[in-house]
Amino acid sequence: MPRKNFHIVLVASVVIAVFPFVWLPLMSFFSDWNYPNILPGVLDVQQWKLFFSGQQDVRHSFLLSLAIATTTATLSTAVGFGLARTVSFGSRRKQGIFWSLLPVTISPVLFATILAFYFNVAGISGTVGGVMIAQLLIAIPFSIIYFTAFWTPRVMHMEQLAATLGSTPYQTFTQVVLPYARPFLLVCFFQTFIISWFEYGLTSVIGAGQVQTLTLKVYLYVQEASPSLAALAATLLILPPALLLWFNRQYVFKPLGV
Amino acid sequence: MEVRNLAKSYGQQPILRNINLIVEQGKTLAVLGRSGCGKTTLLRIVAGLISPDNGKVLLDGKDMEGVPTHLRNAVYMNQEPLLFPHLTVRQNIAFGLKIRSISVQQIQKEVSTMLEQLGLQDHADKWPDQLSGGQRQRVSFGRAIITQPSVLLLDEPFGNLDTDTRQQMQELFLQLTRTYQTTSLLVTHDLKEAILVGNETAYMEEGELYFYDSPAAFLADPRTGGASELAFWKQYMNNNI
Repeated sequence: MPRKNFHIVLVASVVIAVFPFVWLPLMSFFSDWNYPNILPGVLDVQQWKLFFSGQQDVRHSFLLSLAIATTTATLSTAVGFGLARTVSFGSRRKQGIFWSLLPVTISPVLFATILAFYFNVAGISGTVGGVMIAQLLIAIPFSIIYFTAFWTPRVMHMEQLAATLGSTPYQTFTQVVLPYARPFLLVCFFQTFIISWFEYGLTSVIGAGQVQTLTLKVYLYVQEASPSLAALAATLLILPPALLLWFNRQYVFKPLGV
Repeated sequence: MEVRNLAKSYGQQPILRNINLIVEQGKTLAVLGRSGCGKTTLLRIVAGLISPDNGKVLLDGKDMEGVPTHLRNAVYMNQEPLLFPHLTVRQNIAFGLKIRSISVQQIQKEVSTMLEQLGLQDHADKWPDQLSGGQRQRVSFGRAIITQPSVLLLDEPFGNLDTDTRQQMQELFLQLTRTYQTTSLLVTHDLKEAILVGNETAYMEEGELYFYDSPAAFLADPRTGGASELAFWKQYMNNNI
């Protein structure tokens, strides 16, 4: 590719990548943008004022999403970490990985439809708990697969060495395994948070319209043709992942020299 | 350290057959053997990492049956130094003392002495990935010996090192085990190493252990390969020099 074309492609790619991060927050400051106006109408902080005063559904959805994603990420990281050890060091590693991969390989719509039946029977459809359990059914297998790459024979040998040095299983876990696994745990937390935060299909089917997470709200506002509200929700949607990305870069990858 | 009638099989395949051995306090028993002869299994059973099918392990005169690994005071080291990557050299060496809740002053004193003996004073605050292979192995030795184990179990600890470093490490090992009066059981497939570091030598084949009265007897046994090695060098010298 000629040098000039390469630069054009590069600049275009950067613009496309950065555009939503600039345009969406900007859009959230416009109101009164009606058809057939080409440009938005008034520039104000009305939507944000309503958001901070709590007089808007978006704030509830934001906090709800934050609670669901944080809980899902924490639980799936912790449970996946432990289960991955059992899978990796057990005698049936292949079978363990096979069953862990299954929920991830099934189509989300199919998976949600199957789950919906059982969740209805259990009476947890349309509840926050039900949505969380459904998301965990996706996030935990992901976490198991992720951590099987961590639980290598080398880690097992380190555990054994620590034990022969006199370390109790608890000391080995807290003083050897956990500090060593810290960057892996943070990355997994980040990934599972993202899975939960942007989850749409499962949440809409299992939530049955009763659990309105922020992701669902963005689609709802788009369908309702409320561009400034959709922009506000979308801005909030990208905020926590952007913060986590910065945190990971600062405290996980930088110390590792990446 | 004593082992009585130790036996272990994996399925129908016997790995250890009726092993008996005694290593006196402060001495090193070097066991020579080919890969897969059962050397590692023997060490791992003594460390409590796997259970025997039959037999006993006695450390400081106590039967170790049912005693978990962390209470045996038997440190197991293999080819890989396996330094804890999140700890500095100083912290790695202090690990075994720290988990025993020894006072900070005592730990500092003992670690400083050990660093000096290892010749690593200038590297005390480095991370494991900033050290050479030989330096890492030194730290690994220091970390193990500072805990004053009932027995030090060494599974081909110098196997990954180049010839010069290997020789230096063998000398350091002898110096440290003499200073700290450490009882050691070392397995190797290097004939020279077995003779150099062992106060006693043994040969393991198909799960059975054979002892020798002297290094000469050890070398003379055709199974150890000593006689054929000597013959090779003799012939080489005659033909080339």
